[in-house]
Amino acid sequence: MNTMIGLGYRRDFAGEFLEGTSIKPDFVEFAPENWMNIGGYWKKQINQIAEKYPILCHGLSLSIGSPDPLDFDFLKKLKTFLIEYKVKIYSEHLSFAKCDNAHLYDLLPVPFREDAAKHVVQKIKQVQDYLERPFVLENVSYYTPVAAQMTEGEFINTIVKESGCQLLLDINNVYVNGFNHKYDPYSFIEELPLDRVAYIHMAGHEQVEPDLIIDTHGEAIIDPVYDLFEWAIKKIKPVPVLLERDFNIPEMKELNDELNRLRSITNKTWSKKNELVTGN
Amino acid sequence: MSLLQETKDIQSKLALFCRTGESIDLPGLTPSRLHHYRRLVYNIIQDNLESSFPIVYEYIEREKWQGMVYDFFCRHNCKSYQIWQIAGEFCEYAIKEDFATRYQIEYLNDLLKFEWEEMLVYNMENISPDNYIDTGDPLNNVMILNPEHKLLQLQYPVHLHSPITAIEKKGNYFVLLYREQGTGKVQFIDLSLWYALVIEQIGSQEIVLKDLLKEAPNLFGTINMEHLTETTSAFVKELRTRKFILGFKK
Repeated sequence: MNTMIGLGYRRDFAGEFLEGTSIKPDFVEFAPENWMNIGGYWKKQINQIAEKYPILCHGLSLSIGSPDPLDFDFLKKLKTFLIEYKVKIYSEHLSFAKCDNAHLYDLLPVPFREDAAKHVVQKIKQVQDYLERPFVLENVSYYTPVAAQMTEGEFINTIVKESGCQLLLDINNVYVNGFNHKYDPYSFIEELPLDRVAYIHMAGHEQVEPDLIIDTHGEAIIDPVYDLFEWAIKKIKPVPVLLERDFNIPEMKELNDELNRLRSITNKTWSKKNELVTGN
Repeated sequence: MSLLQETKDIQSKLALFCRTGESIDLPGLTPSRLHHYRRLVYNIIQDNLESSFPIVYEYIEREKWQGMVYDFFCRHNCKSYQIWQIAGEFCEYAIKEDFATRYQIEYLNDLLKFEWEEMLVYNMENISPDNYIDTGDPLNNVMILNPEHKLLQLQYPVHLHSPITAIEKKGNYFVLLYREQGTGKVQFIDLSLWYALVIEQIGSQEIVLKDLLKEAPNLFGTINMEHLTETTSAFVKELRTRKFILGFKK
């Protein structure tokens, strides 16, 4: 096996990861905020998951793009969690979910501006120093630009270059943004620092208006997103690939078919072993 | 930090719009799409509260429930980085804002408290009990309790009856919530004042049941001690069977 194709851990089908035979991910992704500082039944479950699968983490509440300072109490608990579960990769969204000391629990777009980029860079450096591990930043979907003074590509490039962080390339988000903001997703990906990609996310979405797609993670991945993925990974070294499915959960066989399709595409393209598989 | 005040204000306006819906005008914005952010944030909060308070949600008129959630959403600054904990913030907010009076739902505070505390006990971090042995004399040895528990005092017996029936039975109720060690399930036991006191005292200090029983006349006045000793011993036995009392101090 050269590639790693994973699945996000959800309570809706938690049992399948341990007892089921219908889904076979190579790794499991936790949203750490959902499982930190808990005990009892779910603690036991995630302990068993971590014994069976490599764990990657994708956060929700760090709010790296927030004007607010970092929450070091949160980071302390996060660090403990990442160490406890020997987490291979910790990633977060290039967005903000907290502002003026109030959490919103969703991903709001950061204005594409020089000062905002520098602000994010400083926060990423703080996080990397504190967590003592590389930080992996995800490009997010957005539905309207907000007071932008530079392009999204320039914004991401500046942050990755200046902070030294890695990139989580969310292919579906690129597709969604290309559709919503009328740009070519292929050209957009070419603009990105692809040598910094450490992780890939794939997901489905929902078109809610003739000119608007919402990134719901509630549908199967569509063919144009698979095409974009197949094209993009030729330019990227082997990295773990995650299937995100958060809502409208289908039969497990359907999910596994999606995992297998991703596996087959990556196996066709990547002959070299994934660094996480080789342990490098 | 290098963030300009102007950018900070833009982000504040966007965040505030998501909560209040107050119209904003920012450069480059596609106004027709902005409402999706508000809808998405609201749905996250609403879905979380609905699943955290299934009984409240079932019994309260939809309009009242939506009014409470909307008020909380617009006016409360959610503090927790873990979304499941907003149920606790909602509970506190509802009590502080006196939703029970505003929406004329007498049992509201108790039911919110009961459902939230149940979830809190279910999710609480594991706590190791003090060392214990299996055998001992319940009257003369210090008993070790399952530390993963919470004692609640309620005005309405929402743990025993449907909220509608509970209204007619206003009084003083005590409930023990505890997490079963093996299954992680939360169990509850309805308690008399005396039994609540016994659990509270045993849980908070090294006191033996015999000494606690001596205090009973101070609480109840004249009392049949033989009967009280007998019923309390039976209660302790029941708690042993239910594995809430784990054993005896080593």
